[in-house]
Amino acid sequence: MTQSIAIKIDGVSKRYGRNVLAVDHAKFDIKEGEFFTLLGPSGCGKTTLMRMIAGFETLTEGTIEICGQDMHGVPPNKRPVNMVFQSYAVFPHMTVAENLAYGLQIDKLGKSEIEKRVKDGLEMVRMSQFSDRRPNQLSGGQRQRVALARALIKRPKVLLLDEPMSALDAKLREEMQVELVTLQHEVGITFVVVTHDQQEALSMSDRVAVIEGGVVRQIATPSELYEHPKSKFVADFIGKMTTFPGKHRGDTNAGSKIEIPHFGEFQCREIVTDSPDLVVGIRPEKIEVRRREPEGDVIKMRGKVKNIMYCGGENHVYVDVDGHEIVAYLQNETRGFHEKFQVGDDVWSYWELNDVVVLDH
Amino acid sequence: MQNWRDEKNEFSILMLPPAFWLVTFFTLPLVVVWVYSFGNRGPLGETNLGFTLVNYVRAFELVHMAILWKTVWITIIVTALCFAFGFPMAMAISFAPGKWKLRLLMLVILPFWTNLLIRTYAWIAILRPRGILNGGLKWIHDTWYSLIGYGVEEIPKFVPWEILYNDKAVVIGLVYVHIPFMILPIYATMEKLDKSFLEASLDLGSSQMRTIFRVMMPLCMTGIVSGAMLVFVLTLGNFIVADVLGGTNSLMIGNQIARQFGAARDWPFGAALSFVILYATFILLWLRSIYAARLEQRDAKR
Repeated sequence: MTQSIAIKIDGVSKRYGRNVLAVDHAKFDIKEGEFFTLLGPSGCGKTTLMRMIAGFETLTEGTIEICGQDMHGVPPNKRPVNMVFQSYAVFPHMTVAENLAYGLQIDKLGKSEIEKRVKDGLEMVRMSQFSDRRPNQLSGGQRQRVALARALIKRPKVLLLDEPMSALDAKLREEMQVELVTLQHEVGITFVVVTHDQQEALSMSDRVAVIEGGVVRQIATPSELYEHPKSKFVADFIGKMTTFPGKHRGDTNAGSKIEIPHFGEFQCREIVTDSPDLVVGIRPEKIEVRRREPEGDVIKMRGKVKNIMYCGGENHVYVDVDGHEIVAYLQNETRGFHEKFQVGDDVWSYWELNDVVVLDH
Repeated sequence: MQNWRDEKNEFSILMLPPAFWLVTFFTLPLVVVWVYSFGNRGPLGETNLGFTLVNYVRAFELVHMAILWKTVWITIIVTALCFAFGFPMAMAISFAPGKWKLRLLMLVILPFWTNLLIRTYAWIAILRPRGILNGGLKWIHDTWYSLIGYGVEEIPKFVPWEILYNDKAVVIGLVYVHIPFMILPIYATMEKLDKSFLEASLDLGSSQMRTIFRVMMPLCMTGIVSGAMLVFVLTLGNFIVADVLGGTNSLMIGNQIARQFGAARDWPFGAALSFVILYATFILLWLRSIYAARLEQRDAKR
């Protein structure tokens, strides 16, 4: 199925003053009906990019098209997008119902139509019983729902959400993540979310754009991003990864030969790279730890347990291998499993060849 | 430094000088004037203490009530004009780029460095028949007629706009003197305002104008109310502007009171007039607090 494009970002740059380049030649498409996330550390330009889509920032270079229409010179109030602000910006001098109606009154709808849409909107976010409340009588989560409903009943082509979960506590955050995804499937509107929380990005999105220093580093599905990161930055930013410097030792029919200095050589199942210097990475949950030497076609390293962090569901075991630290997440499958290893134990840590990630240096 | 009870010593030391100051130089004189308001004027203009309500009865005579009524009207107009000009000015300063903000604020505060009397006299130079304003109007008048083909001798004589020594001049002068008191509190609330409220309004499809009236103004209400109260109170008591710029008919209640303490040498009556205004202010504040409490009750019921 070919999906049509909701937002086309083409060579977009944003410069503040002479020296600050907040967004550097961003170029990608967001598909219709997609849950798309802009992920990156604070100050990476993701919010600037979103504000350019909403029309609050001008572009220094490039074009933004929304549903095939060039947005150059179109003010925010004339764009077919709506935004949920980080602070929610629910008007404190209006009731919940008045907040929802505020945006509709401009669309020259009849009074009964506005009332119906406000009612539907409140039902959608399960806030019907609060319609006469003032925002200062609502909790953070409830305020977020009001902001969400207020934006959605405008029936935008694209809904923009700026750090939607940052003002919520941890428990509520997970609840709202599920709710947001469900809601998106219900309404079928394209969602664009800005966040710095990689967990949030992975769990909610159809696709994620990882941004660093104003540059889009990788755009991929969450699993692709986690299992096949393209750069060390992406690998480090999303999840944890133990890395070793590696050397490319030529290719065979089977795949590239790669040497990890001091630890030996191994054979990849594919041809991974051309550059001689590279980084070999492995995710902590893919590493096994045991006392006896493992057999078979695995990469194995002998070391000493340096530290153990008990995290309830899993143990984080830090193994020291000749001054190199390997982090392994071991599931506490049975009660008492967490006591299996002690600090100072001699152990083997090992992993499947398949699980190795090879990154350009 | 959490409350008075926990740090008795520190607070008493801090509070003693201002308390002494207020009692000596504010409360005591006020009590003296209050006592005077029940006294009577001696034949030579001296004040004899006593207890009589004659001064108050006189204060409620039609002549004085008419002046008070007119003063209140002028004050309302001045407050409204201060808001109409002050709100956009506060907005302009608040939205100005960083380095301009301070300069513009300085321009608002700058007139305070000059004596009020001198500033008021400057308006005479502007408003008088051969002043700056009428000079400009005359130039426009002459230029216009020569442009549409009148010869130098044919141009009709320019009649200056009579804007000095009447109520118009008083209103202009009062607005000029008091507008900073409107701008500054509104500016202060605007600075604290989360700008995403305005962006949210635009994002929901509102025009800039609708955003100003439906979101900006309601959210700046605390600043508007304090600014309006400051301007109202200061204008109500002002007598210098009416004295300098007003005509014989532009008497405000402040002038009337000042006259009793000055030329008329009738301190008891002046005191009574002052206190009538003070009582009226208290009643207004009391009504306002009742109204505010009722609003709060209504909101709590929701």
